Amino acid sequence: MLEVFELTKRFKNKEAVKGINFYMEKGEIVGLLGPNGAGKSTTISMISSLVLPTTGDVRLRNESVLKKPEKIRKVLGVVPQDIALYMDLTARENLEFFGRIHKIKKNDLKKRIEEVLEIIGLKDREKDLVKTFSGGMKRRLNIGVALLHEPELIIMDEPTVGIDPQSRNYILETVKRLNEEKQITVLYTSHYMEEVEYLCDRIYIMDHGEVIASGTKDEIKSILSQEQTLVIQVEILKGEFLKGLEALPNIKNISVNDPILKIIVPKKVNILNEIFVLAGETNTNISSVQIETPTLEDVFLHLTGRQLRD
Amino acid sequence: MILHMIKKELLLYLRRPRELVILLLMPFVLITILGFALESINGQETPNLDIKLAFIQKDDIEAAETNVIARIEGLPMSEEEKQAAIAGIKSANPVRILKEDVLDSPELRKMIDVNYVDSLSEKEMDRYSGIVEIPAQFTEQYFQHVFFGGNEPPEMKLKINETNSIQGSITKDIFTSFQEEVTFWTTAQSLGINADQLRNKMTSNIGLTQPVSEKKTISAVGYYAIGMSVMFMFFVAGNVATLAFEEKSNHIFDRILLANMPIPVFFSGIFVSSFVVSFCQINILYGLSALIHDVTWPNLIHYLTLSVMLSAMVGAFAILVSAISYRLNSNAAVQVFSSVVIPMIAFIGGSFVPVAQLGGVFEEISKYTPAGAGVSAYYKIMQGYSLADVSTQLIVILVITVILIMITFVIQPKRGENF
Ligand SMILES: Nc1ncnc2c1ncn2[C@@H]1O[C@H](COP(=O)(O)OP(=O)(O)O)[C@@H](O)[C@H]1O
Ligand SMILES: [Mg+2]
Repeated sequence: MLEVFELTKRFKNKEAVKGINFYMEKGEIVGLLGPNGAGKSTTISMISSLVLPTTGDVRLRNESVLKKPEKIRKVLGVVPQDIALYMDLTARENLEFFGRIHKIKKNDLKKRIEEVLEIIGLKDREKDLVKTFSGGMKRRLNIGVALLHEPELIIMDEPTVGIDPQSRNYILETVKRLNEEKQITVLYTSHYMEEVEYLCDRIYIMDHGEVIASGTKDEIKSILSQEQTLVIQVEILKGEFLKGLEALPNIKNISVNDPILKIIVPKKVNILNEIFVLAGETNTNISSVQIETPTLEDVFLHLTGRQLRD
Repeated sequence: MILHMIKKELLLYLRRPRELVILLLMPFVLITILGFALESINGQETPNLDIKLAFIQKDDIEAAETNVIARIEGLPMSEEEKQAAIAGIKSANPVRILKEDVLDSPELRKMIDVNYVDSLSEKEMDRYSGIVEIPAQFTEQYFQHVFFGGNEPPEMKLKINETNSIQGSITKDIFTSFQEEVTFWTTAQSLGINADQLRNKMTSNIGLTQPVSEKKTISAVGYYAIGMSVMFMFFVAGNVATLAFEEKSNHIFDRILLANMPIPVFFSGIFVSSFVVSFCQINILYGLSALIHDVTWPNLIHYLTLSVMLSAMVGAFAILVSAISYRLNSNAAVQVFSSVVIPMIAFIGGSFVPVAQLGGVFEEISKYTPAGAGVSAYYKIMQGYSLADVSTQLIVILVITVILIMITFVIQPKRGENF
């Protein structure tokens, strides 16, 4: 349905997106995962025709849309990262305004607004000013506005940032429902890997403007099938202990979150012994050790040496 | 689509008390304060000319006319000459001219309140700005002088009570020039005194009385109703641009673009809503001023025409400032406009100090500035001038509007640049 070829965006002094490729089939939920500043929003802005790419192409059903933005705008619903709503209007007034500028006929719009209010669960608050809403309610209305013109494809840019777990679950369920019941194609952007893991059929992981991994959940995790993650908690983290660990062979990656250490090592290697010896030599007390199966977080750690969330 | 943008904009205004305070309450309070402060400080200079004149006529003009006609009949002249002279009698009677053509003329009637009395006591005299006395035998002697020569022409008596007041000096001016004219026409030995000619000559001679007598005087409150209203109209442009920039910074503008609204349509929406808001604002302000301060307009059509044009100029300012802030991706343009540009053009335009009083070059330049054109045009229209009399100002407003719209069109954000 949608393809992106070698998309690049260079701002004055910064290359935010460096030649990424991806595709989406109709009915899929595709995840775009990456830390802040990875270039996700810039990519979305280029797809949705708000920002012209420096190079590359965006194609909708095999047709380039760079010169004809109207085409993609018609089928596209964008949920921006910021809450793009009028705080001094009520929920219904917002929906009415955006519906009308989408040229939805008055009577159709009335019906449609009822449906959307139902979907986002704000029927009982429709007459309240948006500024009186909780973060979660604002996020829901932010999504609702993007649904008004019944888009085939929805792009959501971090739609759950800064809200309570309950609202977050509501939103995740809503996305899933829209996809299952209405076959809406979804591009879901997030830096929460558990959301992406829960929702998405396929995932692109972005960092520093590049796609560093892509595929189904299992495909991506299999990058780590040869590895395991050790989570070690110490009482007091000493520099010598850390240096010693770094010097050990086989250790691929260490990330420190004092007093917890995450270490990625090949599966077959038993490194625990050496770690305990090192602990003894440096007078470090180990309080616990866990062996974890990999998560997308670990994949990211593996690929970049950094954690997704700092 | 534009309709919905306007509806949204008006709703936002109603929901934002701060904006309403700036656009309506503040200017109205300032009109009241400045107006009253100035009224009491220099009440003399912006007077509500209220001249009270006592008119004591001891002369029986009809009897004098009959007498003189009888005497003309007896003169050794041809019948035609006699008829011409008799016909000239009534139109050449200075007392009649003074009463009917001068004091009762529409121009002077507004300014001078004439009381015809037989006599006045000392005490009663104090109530009047001036007292005119036509002595007994005045007409008789006058005609004697004109037709038969000999004696000196008679004189009317004028007593001014408040010699230093503007009322007093205007009254004096009127009579001095009246006397001069009468003397001129009589010494010219012309029987055909033409009342119209006389009056015209007179009014143009009385430099001071001419403008105030022909056109309404404007009170200080009236002046500030104009000055403040025009200045605060520009704040509509600032406020609308602030809202527009908010729409950009919180990405509502992106949403609007995604709804396939062309950028020029979006800016037209800003233009029209500023127009509507400032047009409502100005009418509310002048409406309140009319109700509370009795500031009124002699011709509503002229007033509305000017208001429509000024509101359009405000719309042009709004889109220009919005476009600049969109291009710079910063609210700085709006802030500079509201806190530097508006006070500046308002000052030059005479919103605070009547530029006409400063006079000279300043007054001339002021007329060609956005606020100055508005202020001076409103002022003249309030005085009762017609649109033709303020055509310079109207052209200035129109030209500024067109130029601003053209600049906006050139610098409006282009697709893909709005980040
Ligand atoms: N208009 C811009 N001008 C310059 N740099 C920008 C602009 N927009 C984004 N960037 C930079 O591009 C990078 C990617 O930003 P963004 O796409 O917002 O990342 P993400 O959405 O993944 O957090 C960041 O380093 C950001 O600072
Ligand atoms: Mg982002």
